[in-house]
Amino acid sequence: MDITVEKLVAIIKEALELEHVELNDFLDSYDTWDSLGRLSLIALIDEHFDIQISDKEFDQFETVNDVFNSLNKKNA
Amino acid sequence: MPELVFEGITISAMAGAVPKNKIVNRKFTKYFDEQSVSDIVDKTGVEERRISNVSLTSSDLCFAAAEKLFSDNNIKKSEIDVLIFISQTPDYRMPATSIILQGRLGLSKSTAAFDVSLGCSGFVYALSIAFSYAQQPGIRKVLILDGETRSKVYHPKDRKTGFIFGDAAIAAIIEKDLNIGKSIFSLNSDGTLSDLIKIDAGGYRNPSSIDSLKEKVVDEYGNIRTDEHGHMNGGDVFNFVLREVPKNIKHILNLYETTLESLDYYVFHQANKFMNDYLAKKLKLDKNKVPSTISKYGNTSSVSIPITIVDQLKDKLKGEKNLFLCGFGVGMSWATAIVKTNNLRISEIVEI
Repeated sequence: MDITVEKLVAIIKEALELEHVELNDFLDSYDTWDSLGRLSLIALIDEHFDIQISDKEFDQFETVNDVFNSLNKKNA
Repeated sequence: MPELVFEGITISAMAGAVPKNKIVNRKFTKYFDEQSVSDIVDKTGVEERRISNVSLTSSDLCFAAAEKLFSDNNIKKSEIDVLIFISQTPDYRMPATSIILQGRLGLSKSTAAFDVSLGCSGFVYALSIAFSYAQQPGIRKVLILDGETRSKVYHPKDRKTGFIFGDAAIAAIIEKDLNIGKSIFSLNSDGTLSDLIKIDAGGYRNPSSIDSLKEKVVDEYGNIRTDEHGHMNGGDVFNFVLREVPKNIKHILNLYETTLESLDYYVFHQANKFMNDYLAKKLKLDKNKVPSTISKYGNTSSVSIPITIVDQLKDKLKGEKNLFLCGFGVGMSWATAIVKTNNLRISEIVEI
């Protein structure tokens, strides 16, 4: 499945219960970006893209764009 | 390892025991505010847990379950040839708790008794061992005692683990039943992931010390525990489950030449509601065939599969049934089985 910015933004909104998500947002700026939020995001990324992201990788992501790039790399 | 296949062996009777003492998680706001606690409970689905007091151990719970099992089924203690105790919360570092239980239950001195130290996969592993012994012509009954006081392993000030784990025990008899068909087991391990769920100190690698007993802040969220409490990397445990468990399930279904739809119940390790629901959705399981006790007992590690059978399937196992069992967790260790039962007798759960 193609990984588009729109799709990823929709997934992050759903996982972290957010109204607005931009590509340049820092993940740390979301109140719901904690271990429970990560679980939701892991599940939705698995469901939609069949890709898994480890905790270490998540620790290295700063922005939504970093997640997007990593998913595309894994999907290549 | 290669799969294990058995014919003419089954679980004939089961009983369970839990502590009377109940914690209602949403009211457990001693260390975290109501909103945080409520968010955790919404996600994990653990509304209540049974918690042992300081003096109540896994073996006490097992003893109560075993006595109930013996009296409800008129089992002669002299017929128990093997006793397998599964736990990672034993009474002592030595001797093995199984042997203490052999003495306390008044079983014959010719009983083979030993402990198995595994967590969430433990019951399925123990069943495979019990089935192997029960195949021997000279073995009459194998007694599995599976008990955990997992609530004592985790620190209440660590929100990642402090609201999930509970205590429980079961007793089960495994024996021959010549009319019963094939059961199959697949057992797996990945020790490269041993850091995902772990207690760092208190064993012989990092012995107990004044330092190992000190409370400390362990992450940026301010969670607190000592090195002698368990810790868990929830995200990577979830990744592990997503990667390995569905694959293992497909594998065992192929070997058994069956489909999920043709099995009667799917009993999964009760990790947490979020993970179990996602797994059921991914595998497209019929919800009516997935019994759950996560809301009332929480995650009881190796006991979660059998206590779910005892609590939820008590009156549903008349006649011949195919039970699908799947445990996964600390190790990492995972095991899947399809077990045939025939009029499996289940006792009421004892509260002590």
